[in-house]
Amino acid sequence: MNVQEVTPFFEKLYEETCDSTLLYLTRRCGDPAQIPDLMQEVYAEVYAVLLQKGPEYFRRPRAFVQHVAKARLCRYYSLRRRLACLVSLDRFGTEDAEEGSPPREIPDQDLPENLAEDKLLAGEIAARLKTFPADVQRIFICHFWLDMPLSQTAKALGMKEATVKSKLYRTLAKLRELYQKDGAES
Amino acid sequence: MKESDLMRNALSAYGLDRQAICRAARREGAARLPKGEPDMKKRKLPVAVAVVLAAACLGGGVYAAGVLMDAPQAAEAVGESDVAALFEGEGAVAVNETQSDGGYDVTLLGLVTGDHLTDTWSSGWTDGEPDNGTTYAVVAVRKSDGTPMPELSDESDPFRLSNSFAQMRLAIPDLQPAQYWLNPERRDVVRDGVRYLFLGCDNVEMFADRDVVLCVSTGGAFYNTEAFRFDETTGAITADPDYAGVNLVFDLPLDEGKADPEAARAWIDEWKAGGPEQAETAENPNDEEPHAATDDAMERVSAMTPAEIRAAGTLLDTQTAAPADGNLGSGWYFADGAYLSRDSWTEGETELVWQTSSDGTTVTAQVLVKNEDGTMTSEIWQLPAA
Repeated sequence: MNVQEVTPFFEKLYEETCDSTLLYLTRRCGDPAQIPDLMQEVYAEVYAVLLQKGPEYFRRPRAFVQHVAKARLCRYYSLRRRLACLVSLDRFGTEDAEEGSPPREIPDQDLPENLAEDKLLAGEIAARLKTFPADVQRIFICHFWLDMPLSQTAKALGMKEATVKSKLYRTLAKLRELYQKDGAES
Repeated sequence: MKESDLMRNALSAYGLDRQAICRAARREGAARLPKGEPDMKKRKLPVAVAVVLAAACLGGGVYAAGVLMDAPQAAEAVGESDVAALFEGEGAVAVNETQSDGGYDVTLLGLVTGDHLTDTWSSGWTDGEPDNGTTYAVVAVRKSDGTPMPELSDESDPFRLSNSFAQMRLAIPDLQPAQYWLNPERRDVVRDGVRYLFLGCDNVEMFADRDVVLCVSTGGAFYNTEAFRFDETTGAITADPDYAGVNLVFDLPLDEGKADPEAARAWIDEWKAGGPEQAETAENPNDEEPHAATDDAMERVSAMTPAEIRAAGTLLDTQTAAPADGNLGSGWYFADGAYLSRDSWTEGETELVWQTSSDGTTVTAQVLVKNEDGTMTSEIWQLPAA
């Protein structure tokens, strides 16, 4: 199968499924830092099969992507690692100290434009994010990357919305403090 | 810029950049193709699972012609200090063989085999690591005329990652060089005008009683059948003298005493049959029934009570943890690293089916039991999917 023939099909399929695949892996993967590699693995396999068999081979391409994602995840984890993955999920949510309180609005002026545009800062935040607990990383992925509202994020991650808000707010506060950008108004 | 946009940029840097993932998947997916598609074998061959750019070169460094770092120094330069230590150990071989072609001097500095010490991960490894360790090699590339190699960011460098190939291949008649996958990795760094290629792949010592070579070529990131000739009778891999770019073959000096003909034969037979991943994917690549069946099975088990699961399942593992305060907060820290926050447990609850997963043939259910003394027991049960 010619690469030029299958690439448009693959790219369309990727666009259609990448968010749902990412959400699936975010919910199931115990170590969110591994998600980018897993995403690559899933779609590399899809692409390889596509090159071998051609687009017409796929009766339901989205279902196939889901199938591959599940297989990749199962393969990645041994039983013990899967245990860690499962237990670390905060299924029932937590009631942190600020339960019920609305999340503080995030003013734009917290982060000066000149620094916000700095790719280095984004990289530093990414590195810092990887040091936070897995559930916090999941919240960031769902809310900021997948543009999911907090209520939807909470539902997807099996957490209470108040917990999601609290964790998100606290982490953002830490990030601002870390980079000395906390000029937010309460 | 809004903070949400900054966080989005940060998550892109975190590794979620859609286009980057798409490109990498296409590259890797194409590299897997030769396992089963004869006509594509001529064009695309396995490349690194995770090809990662190493640190940027030291700008403004003075090119010291003829002065090379050794393998440990080069490994250190790409940030792999553990591998650097391995290169300084007893099993390491300082090869220092230089071959020249196309205006470049290419030197195989050293070779060593040991534990998998880098962060590279492959889906071809069952537990996230290779079963038998990794073979590492370091190659130095210099220009024959003494001018310095360009920086990594220079897209005109023929040895850039997207345009060059440097991987171990088995020079055996049993398998075409395109027929198998050694889970290769590669990182480059430029120091003082020399480009160093830090290479790794699944341990090849089991083939030590046969010929294993390192193929280096420019003109593409894949093994190139125009650059290398393969003799199906003898298994010999040689550089094609008519090839326009750089194409070199280094013999790897492996310790024959570490050969494992039995394991090698099993490995070869597996790849003759298409390889582990190929077999798995080819079996039911489009079969949606198992997918649906898996979901149904998980749903069915999720609806069962702990007692029903215990009656129907097989206990695989059990762990008990006492509540403690740790770096993730207050909760139960299990011996294998799993953590359950104290707040996650509903007061008054004594046991529940926490979560289920399935590999298609079995369902694994995790039952959590809060004991009277405050400890938490995790039980892993396996049930048939059907």
